[in-house]
Amino acid sequence: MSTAGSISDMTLVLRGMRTRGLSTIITILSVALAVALVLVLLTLRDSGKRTFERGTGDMHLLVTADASPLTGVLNSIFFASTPPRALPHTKFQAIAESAPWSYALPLAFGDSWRSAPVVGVTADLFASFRPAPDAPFALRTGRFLGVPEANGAPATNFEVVVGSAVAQRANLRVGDTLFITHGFSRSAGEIAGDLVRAGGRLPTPGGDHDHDHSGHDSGTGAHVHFDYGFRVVGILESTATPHDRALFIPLQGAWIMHAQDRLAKQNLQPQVGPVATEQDLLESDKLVTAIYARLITREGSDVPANLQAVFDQLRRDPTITISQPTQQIGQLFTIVDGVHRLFVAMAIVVMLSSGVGILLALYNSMHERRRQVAILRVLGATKARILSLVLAESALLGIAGGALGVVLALGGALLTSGLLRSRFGLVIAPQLDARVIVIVVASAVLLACLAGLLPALAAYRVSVAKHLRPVG
Amino acid sequence: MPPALAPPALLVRNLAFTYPASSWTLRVPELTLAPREQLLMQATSGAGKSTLLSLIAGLLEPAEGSIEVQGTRIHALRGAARDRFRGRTLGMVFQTHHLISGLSALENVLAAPLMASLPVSAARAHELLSQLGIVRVSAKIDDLSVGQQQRVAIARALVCNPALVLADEPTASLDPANAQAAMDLLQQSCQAAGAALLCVSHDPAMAHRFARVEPLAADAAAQPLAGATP
Repeated sequence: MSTAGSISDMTLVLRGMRTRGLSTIITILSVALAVALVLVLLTLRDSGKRTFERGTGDMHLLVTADASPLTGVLNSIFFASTPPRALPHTKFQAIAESAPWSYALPLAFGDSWRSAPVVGVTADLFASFRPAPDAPFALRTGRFLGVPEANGAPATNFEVVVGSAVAQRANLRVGDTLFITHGFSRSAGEIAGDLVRAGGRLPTPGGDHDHDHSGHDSGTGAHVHFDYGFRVVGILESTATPHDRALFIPLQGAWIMHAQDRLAKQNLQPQVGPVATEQDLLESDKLVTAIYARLITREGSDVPANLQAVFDQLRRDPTITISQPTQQIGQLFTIVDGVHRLFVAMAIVVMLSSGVGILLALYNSMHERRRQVAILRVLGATKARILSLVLAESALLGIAGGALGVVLALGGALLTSGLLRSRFGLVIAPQLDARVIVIVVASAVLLACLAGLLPALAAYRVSVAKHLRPVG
Repeated sequence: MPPALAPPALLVRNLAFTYPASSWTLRVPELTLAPREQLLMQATSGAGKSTLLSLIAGLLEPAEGSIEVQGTRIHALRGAARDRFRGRTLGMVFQTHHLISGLSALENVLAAPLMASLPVSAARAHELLSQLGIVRVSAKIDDLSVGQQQRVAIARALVCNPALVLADEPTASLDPANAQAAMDLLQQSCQAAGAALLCVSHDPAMAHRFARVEPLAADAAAQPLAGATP
């Protein structure tokens, strides 16, 4: 370029930036980080809410014994933690008969397998409940619960249908046998012997494993039920809801496991064999932690006319907590929204501080630049020309930082959504809205220009005579 | 146009200048430079040499009097017009080179027409640099010796074919041998380019190079403005 003998204002700007290499790089990086942070926050903020709203499925009402409607929703739909209290099965039956339900489904939640929630359900769940309003349960392989095998063998109480995320994580296949943990073990990983692959040797009932030792987590009271192996009969397609990271077993199976615990505790059957059967079940064993319920709606409407009436009627019962999940999620987000605003405010502060960073970077280089500005003035540069040179530099810093920030944000969003998917079963598509990108990058450039304005004005006012006195 | 009608390269009349909040006053009652004429103004440090050059370049405003460069009263021009006039009519050489680091020798020379909004002639820049003995025109300015840098500065002062070159202690940062060479080149180049040269220096050894030598009167400079104006 130099030998060709061409030169432009841009040459001056770019060479200047290169001469101040380190400060240029640091400034661009700080702009990039600010832009990336703002973009990631804005993106996740919207998609997070969308995901939560979607996750409540097509139920109208949720009945639990939790302390508040919101905890009910978080525990029984998003599997946040084990519901502390349960309802007797008779209560479920009474509620199921109390209103014209499209469905009323009992769930028992309190067990886990490798820290994924194991939910006791009836076979109706798969036929009736839609985990997302637009997507019913679908199988990747195998069958749902309660359906006879292809060879005519009847369904049992000890089979399991696995959500897509769990299946993927543990590489589960139809035919594998799982041993389920009562409660949640502190160790999030696998427990020795909790999975026997299809065709593998199952432990002798009551023999291989000491009920109280090998599978026991003394801290939480969680323990593995080695007496009952649950055979994987189906693996679900992804629904992009929390149900992807759950395992579903027959309600009866869940009850029998706990009846066994009761018997063991009473020392009537001290750790010998799978003893408890359906016949051993007492009414007190038949517990339900949640009821998913949907009312019959008219064609083309999702909100039934009698929703409020049924809600008010059920609310009179002090032993249950009733919630409208979508409403609870809406309320949750009005709380979380404040936090989001805080984050966005923080992002803006970060962005402003990177603007200050640009200002300082430009200003710090003013000693060198004042001399340069004075030289350019002597060569005939007008003040407007000087102003445009300094502003062009800060605009370039803003554009470079903005572009890098978009790249970082895309990477960051992909990383975050991957993390949310594997950790929490939340499927968030990292959509970076083009308009948002344009607005954020444009404001970064604008901010950079504003930050450059002060040094530019300083350069504009530079006293040429003063700065061209002999140096040194 | 007959030579007699050509305006002088520089015409200073009754110039007085004082810095704000200072009793020090620079006075130049009369100073004329014919086209292509070369003049050495001798003065001790602090006599106001740099101030005089800044006034002539339109970078400072005189309190009294007038300055014409090639027939134009530079202080009658405002803002951008004055900047452009300076870039096109005047060349400046300083004690320290005042080149732009990060640019090559050639680019430093080309920055002059660029900033003066004149057509950039790479050929003229190459010609000047080769006359001044700069071979590595694409070398970064910081990689050149001080003597080479001063020669690049001379090329830059002349590349826009100015009517007048102002040189402020042009050899002060050079060793005697380089100083001789630089003054030879400066004077010859101005001659060749048809530019008048006003050189200010405190160096008595420089006097023999100039046909015309004038002092920047120290006593005049010392007089306070109010007392000196009858």
